Order: sequence, then C-alpha cells, then structure tokens
Amino acid sequence: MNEDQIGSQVQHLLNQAIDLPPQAAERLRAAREQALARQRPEPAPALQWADSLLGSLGGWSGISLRVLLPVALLVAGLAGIYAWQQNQTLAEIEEIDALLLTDELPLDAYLDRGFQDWLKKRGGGEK
Amino acid sequence: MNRRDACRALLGLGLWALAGGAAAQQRQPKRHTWAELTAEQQNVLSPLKSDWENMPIESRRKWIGIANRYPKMAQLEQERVQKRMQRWANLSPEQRARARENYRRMAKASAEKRRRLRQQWAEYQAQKAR
Repeated sequence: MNEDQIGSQVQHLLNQAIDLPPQAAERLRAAREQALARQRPEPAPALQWADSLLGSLGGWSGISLRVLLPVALLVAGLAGIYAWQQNQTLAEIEEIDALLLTDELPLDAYLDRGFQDWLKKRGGGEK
Repeated sequence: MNRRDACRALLGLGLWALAGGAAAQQRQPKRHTWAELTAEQQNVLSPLKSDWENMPIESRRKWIGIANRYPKMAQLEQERVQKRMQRWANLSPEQRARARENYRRMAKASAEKRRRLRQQWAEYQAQKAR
C-alpha cells in the first residue's frame, strides 16, 4: 500500500533471486543504467503539470510547500494587516471629524493659517 | 502518503486564509446609497443630501459613523454639527487634513490652554478686523 513498503518488498523478492547468470546480470545492469539515463534529464512532461504540481508538493519536496505555504500565509497576513490599518485610519478620521464638528472653536480656527501662526508667535513671546 | 495529506491540508489552510483575507477586503465596497440610510441617518445628514452620491465611499462610511454618534451628543454639539457639516464636506481634502493636523496638535495642549483658546480666537479675530 505504502510506496516504501512496496519498495522494500520488491527489494526483498529481488534479493531472493540474486543468483543470476552473469550475462543476465550484466544485461539488467545495462538496462537499469539506460532507464536511469532516460529518466533524469526530463523529470515531468508539461502535460502532467497539474499532477506534478500536487506531486511535487508532497514529492520532491514539501520544499516547495515549505516555501509556498508561508508565502501564502504571509500574503494573507499582510492583506489582513493592511485592511485592519485602513480601517483604523478611517476610524481615527471619523473620531477627529466628530470632535472638530462639535468643538467649541469654529472650523475656521483650525483652518486659518494666520491663527495658527499667531498662536505660535504668542506662545513663543509668553515664554 | 501521510505527509502528502498533511501537506495538502496545510496548503488548503493557506488558501483558505488567503480567501478569507480577500473576502475581508471585498466586504468594504458596500455602496451606502442615500436610499440605504435609515430615516434617522437621513435626517441627521440632510445637509449632505445633494452631495451624497458624489462622495467617496470612505467619506460616506465616516458620515454614517458620525450620524450614529449624533444622538449621544449634547444639543449644543448637535447644532454645531448641523451648522458645520456642509462646509466641512465641501472643503478640499488638503484643507481637511490640515485642520485635523492642527486639531491633533492643539488637542494635546493642557485643558487650561485649551480653555484659553476660545478667548485667543476672539482676540485674533478682533485684531484681524482692525
């Protein structure tokens, strides 16, 4: 059932038949090398990309997953933080606007640059 | 394979978290048309009615927030809000930002200083008129 178990069973069976005539052993070795040489250069054809995507996630790595998953979480986290911050900024603006609209001083007191400068000068003079 | 299943589960979790984040972002653009406001909100915000549809959605949300605070305000404060609302909405974003900045700075001052501000404002206007 498990790949590893199947592998070790096959290995076990093959080990039992270890007394091969030399030519047969030689031919098997050659065939094996040929097969390996063919397999290495092209790991997976593009056609199977969907399968290889899933396969690679659990297969030649978990590496890609070890990278992909944190990246996905990071992106989700950043999106969350951004949305939250945006929300905070809007809440703060609402708060200040509510205060400005109800403040004792009229809006002009906060809009008038002259008044702001005048206050600064006076504040400096008093000290 | 057990590990693969675990990996897939993790990947699924990651994608779910992503989708959740995206959904949170998508929730924002609710239109908040004038017709969607409650009668009470419409009543409070009536000075803004003609500009409402041209306002950015963030501003509408802000005004809705302010309308929701309105019932808790003192009567004098409510009158000020009614009087200032339209002018405030028609200022440029830069002007509003400057006023908020000034407010933040001046709000930090001591209560005593803030009390004097009203008098100082009157003084300043008198000087300017001269």
